[in-house]
Amino acid sequence: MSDYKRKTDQIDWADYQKKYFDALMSFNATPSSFNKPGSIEDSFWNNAMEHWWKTMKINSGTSFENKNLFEKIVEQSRNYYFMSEQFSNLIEGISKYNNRKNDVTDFVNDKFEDLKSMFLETSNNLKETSENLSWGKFIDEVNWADFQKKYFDAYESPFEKLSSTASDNINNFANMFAGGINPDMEKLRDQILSIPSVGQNRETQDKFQNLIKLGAVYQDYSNQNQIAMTQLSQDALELMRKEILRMNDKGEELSSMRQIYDLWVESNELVYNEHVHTKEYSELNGKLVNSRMAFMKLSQEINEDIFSSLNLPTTRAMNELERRHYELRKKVNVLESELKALKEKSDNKNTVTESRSRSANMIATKKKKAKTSRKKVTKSAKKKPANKVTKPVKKKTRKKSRSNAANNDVIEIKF
Amino acid sequence: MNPFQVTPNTLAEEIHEFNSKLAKGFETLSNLDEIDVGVSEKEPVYKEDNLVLYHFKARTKKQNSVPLLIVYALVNRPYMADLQDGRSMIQGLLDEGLDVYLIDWGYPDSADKFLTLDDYINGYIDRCVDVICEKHKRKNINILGICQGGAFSLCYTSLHQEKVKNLITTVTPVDFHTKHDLLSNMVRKIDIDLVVDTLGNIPGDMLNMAFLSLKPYSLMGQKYVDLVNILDDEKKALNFLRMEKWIFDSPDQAGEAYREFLKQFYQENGLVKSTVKIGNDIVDLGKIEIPILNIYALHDHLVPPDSSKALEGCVSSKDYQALEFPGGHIGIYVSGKAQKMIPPSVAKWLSERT
Repeated sequence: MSDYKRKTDQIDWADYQKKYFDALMSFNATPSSFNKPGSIEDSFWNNAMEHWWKTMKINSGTSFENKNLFEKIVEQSRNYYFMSEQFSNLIEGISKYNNRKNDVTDFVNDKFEDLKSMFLETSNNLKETSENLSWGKFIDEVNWADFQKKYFDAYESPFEKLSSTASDNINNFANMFAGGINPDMEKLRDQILSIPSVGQNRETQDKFQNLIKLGAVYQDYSNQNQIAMTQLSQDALELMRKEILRMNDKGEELSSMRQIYDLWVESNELVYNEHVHTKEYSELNGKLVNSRMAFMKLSQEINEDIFSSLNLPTTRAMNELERRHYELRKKVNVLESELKALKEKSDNKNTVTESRSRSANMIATKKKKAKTSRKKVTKSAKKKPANKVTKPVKKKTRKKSRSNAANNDVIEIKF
Repeated sequence: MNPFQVTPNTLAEEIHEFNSKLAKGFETLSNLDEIDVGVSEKEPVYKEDNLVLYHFKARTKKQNSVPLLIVYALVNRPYMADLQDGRSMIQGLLDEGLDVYLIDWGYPDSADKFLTLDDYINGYIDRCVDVICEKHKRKNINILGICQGGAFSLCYTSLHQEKVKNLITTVTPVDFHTKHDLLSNMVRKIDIDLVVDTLGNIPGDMLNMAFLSLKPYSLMGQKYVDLVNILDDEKKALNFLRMEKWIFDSPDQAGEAYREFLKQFYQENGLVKSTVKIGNDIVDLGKIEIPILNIYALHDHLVPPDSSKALEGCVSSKDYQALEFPGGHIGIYVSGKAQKMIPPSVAKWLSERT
């Protein structure tokens, strides 16, 4: 008997159950939905976590920033628990086959095939009514697609955020008639859109009809994107299956739930990375964003019309004001730099004038001195000749004016 | 052999241990105060609109005589280059005797939505350079550009080469159409005009989501499960929180500048084709003749190495040097490995050219 078989045979299930409940008690939870795999909301550990977190966040004095972070951790921990719970079923199934490699292979293949069929079903269903969305069954009714969605739920899509505007009602109205929903609604949408606009409010009617069309276009691309993501999840599971079988062949082990989780993440990243490199992704992403923006823009226009009619401030008016403000800022910048240059020039001129008058004064003083000394020379023939005194003064003056000229040149270049 | 060596017992124990760590983590987080970032002492020397030019206080007696201006990206906040003691590129540069300035672009508001790349490059950057030149009585300075700031620095150098003595680009995209450029593939078919006309300024959250969606399973999920394992260590928790704060501290983007950058750089790949127009001037990287040090990260998932390495073929500089960092886009500024490698390399390269 192998070690593993011995281990599983020797499990005291009552003890296991006790430990399981002990772990849950740490969350102050009531194990009402234990072992009922299905949607993430039904997961017992998740519910326990949710309950614990609600208690903690009410009673804690944690800063907003840290609380926000902890919410993210809790959200991802819930996903981690959910995966653990579901994989425990897979592990339990495999343990029955013990060391028979081929049986394990068959079991893993079967389970992953179930999953792939389920995802294909999902993709097809997504095109039909939202009410009929059936995510299928995998490993005892695991709602993997729901899990996939929940995995990212802690992060609001920026588009969703952007839609939280005054145009929400319009958005809802348009979405109601968007594609990928109940065929009756689609029919109704087409009927509404085929009614010609008439009367005084013709333009408004046109805009609403266009908005509905744009909403439908966006919804279609959104569905296509969802289908692509679903396909990726399927591919990731296929990759995971291959890796598990490879490990089975090589005799390698996954010895903790964390390793299984990491393998799932790695498989998804690899598949996703390959996808985002493709032209198809680029095109679909472009269509998705563009259709959303077109829809938002028209929503804004309709809102603006309403606000204008009520004499309320509009984005259009604000944009115009901000544009004028921007142009004024630019003008001020230009004026400031011109003013600075002028000031520098003027300062320099003053410096030149000052230095010239200083030079002139010096010359005058020296001339005076020279006169005095000439007088003295005439009085006494033994005194030094006058040119010897004036010469250096003249030289100095010339030098100074040259350097001023050079300064002026620099200023001119600056202009 | 069965690859799943996980029994119900070990599974329950694993979950129990995880729960305990989670509870301990909550205790750690409850005891932490607000997260402080930006470690090096600095003072504002110039302000204009939302922009602040900072001058960092010297940490050495002797300094390189040519000041170094760091031009950060418009995306995220510049304190990533000065995150915390021992994990700060700026601190490293100061310790190497460099005289460091940094442009903090601030948070553009609605009134900034018409700012163009001309305003950023020929306006703000140029005025900051003038302020530093005037202060140091110099005709030119050294510039270090970070990511998008690197692309701006290249444009600036091409247009105002006389004011740049040496240029350092770090994780800077140059060729926006390389094979592994996911961001480029993501935006290639988006109608940027429609986006900007609809949104005005581009919300920072939207850019954040774009960056996170490049590795969604790791960056939005696994990271937080990993975090549970280190939350019992206050120091490690703080390190994580600082980085987390930085990641989600995303200023909105001035609409017009975003329009020009996305269209001319990402969609038209204008930097390598010499078609980028800033104001009335065409950016021709071929005009750049000054010394260039181009630092890129080997495992960069935002700016692939090939995108940065393309610079060599675009410039005319005879003094071009590339430096490969064995890490990622952010690791190049905050990792322990980076602290030992980047600032000393930059300082040595600059001192040889001063």
